[in-house]
Amino acid sequence: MNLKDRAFRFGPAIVLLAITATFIITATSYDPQTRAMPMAVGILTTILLVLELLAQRDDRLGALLRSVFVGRSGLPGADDAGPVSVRREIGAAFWIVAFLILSILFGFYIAIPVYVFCYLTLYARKSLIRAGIAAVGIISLLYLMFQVLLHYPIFGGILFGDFM
Amino acid sequence: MLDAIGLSLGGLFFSGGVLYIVMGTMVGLLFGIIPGLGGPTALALLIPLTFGIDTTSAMFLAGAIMGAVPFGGSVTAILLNTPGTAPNAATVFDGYPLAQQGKAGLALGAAGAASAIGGLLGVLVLFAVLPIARQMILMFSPPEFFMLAVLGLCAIAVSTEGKFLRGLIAAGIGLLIAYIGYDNVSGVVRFAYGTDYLWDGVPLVPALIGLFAIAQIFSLYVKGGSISENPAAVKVTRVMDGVKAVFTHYPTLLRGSVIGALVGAVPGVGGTVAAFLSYSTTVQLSKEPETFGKGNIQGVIAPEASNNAREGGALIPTLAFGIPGSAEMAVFLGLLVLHGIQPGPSVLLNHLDVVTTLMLSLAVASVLASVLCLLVARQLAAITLVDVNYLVPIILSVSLVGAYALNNSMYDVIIAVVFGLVGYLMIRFDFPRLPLVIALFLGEIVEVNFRQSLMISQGDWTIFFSRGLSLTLFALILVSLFLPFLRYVIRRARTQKESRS
Repeated sequence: MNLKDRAFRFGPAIVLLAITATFIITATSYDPQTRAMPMAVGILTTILLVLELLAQRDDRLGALLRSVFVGRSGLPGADDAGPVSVRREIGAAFWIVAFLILSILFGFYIAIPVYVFCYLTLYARKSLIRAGIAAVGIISLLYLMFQVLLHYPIFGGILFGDFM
Repeated sequence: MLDAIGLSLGGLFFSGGVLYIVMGTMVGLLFGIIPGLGGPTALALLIPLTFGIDTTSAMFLAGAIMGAVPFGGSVTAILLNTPGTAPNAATVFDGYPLAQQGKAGLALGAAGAASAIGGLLGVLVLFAVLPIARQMILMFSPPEFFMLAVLGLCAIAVSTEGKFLRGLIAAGIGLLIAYIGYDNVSGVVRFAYGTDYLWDGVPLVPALIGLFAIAQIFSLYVKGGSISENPAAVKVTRVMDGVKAVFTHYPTLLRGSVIGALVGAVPGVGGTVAAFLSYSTTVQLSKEPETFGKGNIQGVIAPEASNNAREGGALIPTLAFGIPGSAEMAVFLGLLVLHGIQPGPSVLLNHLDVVTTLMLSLAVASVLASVLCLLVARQLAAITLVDVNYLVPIILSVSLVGAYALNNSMYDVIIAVVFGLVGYLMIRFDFPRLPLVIALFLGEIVEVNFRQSLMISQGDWTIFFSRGLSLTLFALILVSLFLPFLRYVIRRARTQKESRS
């Protein structure tokens, strides 16, 4: 089993275990009534996560647990999720987060056309004219829908004095 | 009841209800046709847009979307061998072979008529069950509501085939997230970690926009290309022959509708199971089972009728107990919350007009979607040729602006993006999203009813087991939890028997 397979099989459960442990530790500081349900759910989730970790092991116990809970004893590998490129996933996350940061700083009216234009030209390799038309089209559509028809205020960006 | 129906009819004819139904039907068809989007994404994007309109109009819009999505998905299933939504996968088996034989119109006509009639029958089932459901609700008190909410979570986790353990883990994490913010009983702020924004808890609607719309965008980003590469140059003719075929094979239609409505009412089982169950039952009962998979029109009628009838059935647990039967229904509950309606028994007891409006819009949309879709089926199918790269920025922009518009808060937008990433990671690592979403809704119901029960009994735990209904629900929870073990024992016994023989 290589490192990629190991991360694929054990990674999610370990991260979730850490999150659950944080909840349980935090809950101990509350009074008994307030912490009862989060503690109970946290402890049950921890047990389930430990079972999940055991079920991912390549031994008899793991095979037995998989047979019971998954209905098959075989182990999935990292490549079983399909031909997904991690680089492409990081790229996708980058575009979404970049758009979010741009929106917070400059507001939607600037962020949307800039994002659409950059995404279509740099990532999707579309022509400048098509990207420009798409950028103007999308922001016009959103302006009509939200500002004109529904009278919603659109965020103007913290750099231009708007509040989060 | 009659007053509520009168109000709904008034809304339909005199307050622009027809317009909202037409709009919702168009949006539903569009989102049904584009594979990967579907009803939950359409509803998640719609929620912020309904903020400025009254509740009745919002129900017309939502009902129309829910009524139209199932048939939208069958258009591409028949014409392009690409089901628009998962439940339409069963339609592919016989729908696409018919299209290949030049009988696309026949298949579409049959699918349209079966969807419309199935949708109407599903609404009729809901209508028949409503008076009983209202009586049943009055039998429920905090211990029963607690048990029912836990049962809903367990049933949904069990129904995620092959992901039972991960379903329960997702439900557990969802419950923990639901406990962030004010404790509704004591007023203490929990798990906010010094962030004022989290005092009111994680907002549901931005989380839903993230988990469905943005997670789907993420998947489209990663996939790239266009949804369909090679659309057949289809001729949509003989549509009326398809419509007639539905009436010729009325037992198939009725059977499919009943299966759809019944399966839809079971939380978590979903439309895919209903459609495949309906299809397989039709094959088993047929005198010519060998003709299925090669273009038998009954193979189109059965899953389509069941697919639309399911919507009516799924509304029963959603409206009566606040336990969503599917992802679509979970998002729909978010819409109710936004309009100040607390999901659960109060909907049936105090907002019956909401229920009748939904029923009306589901029924009208089922018929309207079929008629509209049959008129422009070929043009609609061409949508799947659009490059995904154009869809991504449109849907992402609408999602983020929509998330902001709810409370004029960019923190909501951040929550939507965070849940979008979480949703994508759940798809990537094969964790079901539905139990998490449903736990976000049920977290408060579980905790409040648990603590109210203990207050009523003055701390006596036997209150959960000393009442007949509560005990029955507890037994059902145990059954649902032991189901995987039971399956394992049966599988093992069968394997041993086979190896011996």
